[in-house]
Amino acid sequence: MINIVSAVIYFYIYICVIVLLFNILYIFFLKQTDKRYKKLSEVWLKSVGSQMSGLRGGNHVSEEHRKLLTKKLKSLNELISYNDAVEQLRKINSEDVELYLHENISAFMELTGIYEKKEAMQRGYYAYLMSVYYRGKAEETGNMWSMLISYMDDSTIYCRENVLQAVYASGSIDAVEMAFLKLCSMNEFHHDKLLSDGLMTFQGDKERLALRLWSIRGRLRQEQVTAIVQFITRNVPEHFEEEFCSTLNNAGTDLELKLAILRYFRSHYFEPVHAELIRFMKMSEKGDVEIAALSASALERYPGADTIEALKEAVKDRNWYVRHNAASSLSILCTHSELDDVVASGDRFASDMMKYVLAKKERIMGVTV
Amino acid sequence: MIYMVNSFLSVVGVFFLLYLLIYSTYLLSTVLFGAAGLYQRSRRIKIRNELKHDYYVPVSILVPAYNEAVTIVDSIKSLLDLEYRLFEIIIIDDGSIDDTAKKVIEEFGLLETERPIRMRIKCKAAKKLYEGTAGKTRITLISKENGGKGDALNMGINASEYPYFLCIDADSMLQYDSLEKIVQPVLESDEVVAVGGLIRIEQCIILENGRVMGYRLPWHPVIGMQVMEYDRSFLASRMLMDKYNGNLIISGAFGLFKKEIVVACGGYAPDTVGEDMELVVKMHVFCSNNNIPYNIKYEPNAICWSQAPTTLRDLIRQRRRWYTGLIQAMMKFRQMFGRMRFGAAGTLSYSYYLLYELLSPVIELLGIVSIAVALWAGLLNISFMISFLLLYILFGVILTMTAFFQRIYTQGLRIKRSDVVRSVYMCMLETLFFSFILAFTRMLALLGYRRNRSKWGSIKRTKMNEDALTYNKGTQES
Repeated sequence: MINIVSAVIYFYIYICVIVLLFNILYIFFLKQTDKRYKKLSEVWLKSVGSQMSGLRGGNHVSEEHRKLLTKKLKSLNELISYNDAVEQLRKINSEDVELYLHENISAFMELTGIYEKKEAMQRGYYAYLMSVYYRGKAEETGNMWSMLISYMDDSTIYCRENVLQAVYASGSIDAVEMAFLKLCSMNEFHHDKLLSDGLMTFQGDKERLALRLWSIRGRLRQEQVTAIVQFITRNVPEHFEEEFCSTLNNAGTDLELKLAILRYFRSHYFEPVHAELIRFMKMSEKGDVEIAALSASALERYPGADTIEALKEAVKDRNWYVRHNAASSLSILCTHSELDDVVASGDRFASDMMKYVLAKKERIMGVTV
Repeated sequence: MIYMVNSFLSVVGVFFLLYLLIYSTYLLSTVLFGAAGLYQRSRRIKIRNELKHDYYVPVSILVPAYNEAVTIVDSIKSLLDLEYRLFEIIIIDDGSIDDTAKKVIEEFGLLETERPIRMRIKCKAAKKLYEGTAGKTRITLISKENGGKGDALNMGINASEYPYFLCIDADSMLQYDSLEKIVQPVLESDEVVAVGGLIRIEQCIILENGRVMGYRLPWHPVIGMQVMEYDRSFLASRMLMDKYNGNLIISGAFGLFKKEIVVACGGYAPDTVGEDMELVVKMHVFCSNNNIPYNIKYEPNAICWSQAPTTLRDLIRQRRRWYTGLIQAMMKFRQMFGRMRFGAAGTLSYSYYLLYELLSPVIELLGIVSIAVALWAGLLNISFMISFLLLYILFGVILTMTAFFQRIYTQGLRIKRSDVVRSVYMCMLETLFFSFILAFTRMLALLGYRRNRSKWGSIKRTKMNEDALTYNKGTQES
């Protein structure tokens, strides 16, 4: 027994020594790799630089150069070095780089097919480069985007996100629609925050994109629809009031989507939803606390006697957030003296909350002045 | 009689050999898996495979403080250097008897307010509340009755506005990108309920505007040994446990949590000195019992620089507290042991902590007694025992060195040749002495458990960035 354990420990020591030696050699190798990358970048710098000089002189990118790109850039290390060179040149003259990249679309189309067969991390990097190189170039780059969307199959969240970034950057509404449908069919979670922030970077007509995506909402996952509402709220709030109002009133609508729509109506006034917001605010008693709290907050945009009456009642709600948001809305809609009855009310929770919100408002205004 | 002793020693011998074999295998696996994980991560980030966004989820940063007047202002300033769009800072002064609150109020111009706090988790009452802003960041200071770290954190959770909160020690500093990095796993999966960051030792660096301005391994043996231990034991083992959602600890010095789940669990336990481990184990139990899909992640790219004890006395005091916290959490959730319902956390992780952490003083004591009995009975082969011990020490030294150098290259760190010499020296010191000190400390903690189970003890603090200057005198050119 003891001999076995000793032998195992010797074996483990042997493994550790091998790994240790590997580590030490790898540290030296990394130093060499840095030098190698630098060297490769310099070679690309010369090659790309000479092509750009030609472009300035009215020539086109040579066929040899395109062949070189498709041959060499299959290697990830070459691609990293190439990008390093392109980015260095972009700092000097971004217009020439744009022209140069435009001339090389066919080479990159070919490379898109080649990278499709590579591992997810490499596909992710390639998609990232396309999002930088061909921003707003949907028409010129043809079916490159549909090929990039296929990168999402059997991939990681990072690769999917980079593909989506590239698709938004392309400015193609069709490509975004295709990517969203693909994402849905894969049944993979993709955070609504990533999706809505990503949509904000879209390089084409955002209004048309919003209309298109909203029209296919029935075929998408819940977090995707929520992201679309968030995108609409921040970018193109017109034309969706009626639709959002009826979605809000639909009992089957998902909670997160309802909250996103309430945020929309908080930043975008729409009188027909006024009575609904008051009704939702009273739903706290039924346990819909988040809906009630957000409705109380949205009502700051909907002045009126009925609003104030409802808010004064909501300030006495059992839930802290409903009380807080109702008090904040009241502080915006009413003068200090109009709120004396709340401050002096027998409900200590309501009174404390109102006093705090008013004091905070005074402090902020004091600081602003 | 001799026959009985012989049989006893044979059984003990087999037990120890198996114990050692499993432990060695575990250590080797942690180092190898840890290295593979770090390598993958650094490669992924190098080729732009990360969730880089301008806006992430808003976060409330909770800083519980008890007599932290020396470090609290620097700690908050380091938080203000974070490159993150939306966060608030809540400092909970847990009844300090020094100038902790005064220093914060004066430095950041806070004003007293009557803000009502939503008491979702029970905690000691707030005495005063102050608010202010630094840039766009809201700062809240709550002065409350002393109730311990867990109680202070519960107050912070009650006062927090955002859906995720980050707890950080008042003697720790974050890098400019730490918050961004620790939040990224939350965007990767909606099942992530908590994320632990990497704790590293502050005395090795100087941090300016959230950026590390040079790394040196200090000559100071107590600190140097802890650097080695952190790399081998904490980084590597947590990365391995992360692979199967089995981490039972997120350090109280730096962890991100989903507020709703923590509130549903009842928050931090105020009656334990290991509130960080207690919460994480409780979250495992809560989510498993309620069939909530969950994931507790470890993110080694999110780095927090924390002050390590600089004297042996402080170190023993800290470790005694850690061990006491371990006993409390393990005892409280003993229903986890071996239950498949709790997944790998209940089977693999709990068993590891039980056998190799909690029961280690008892097992070590058994070892010492067995050696004494064998010596008495004339059955001890001393030369073999020494050679086996040396073999095991050699394994420990090489393993620690492997873990250290792996972190160096996988994280792209540059160290000087003198640091290489220091690291070898510290690895030997760590294996030869530190493990024995730890064993001794655990023994003390076990024996004094009843007496010390609610004692925190205090550790000497120094101003941030001064430590690196002190412990690396004349070596700050890097």
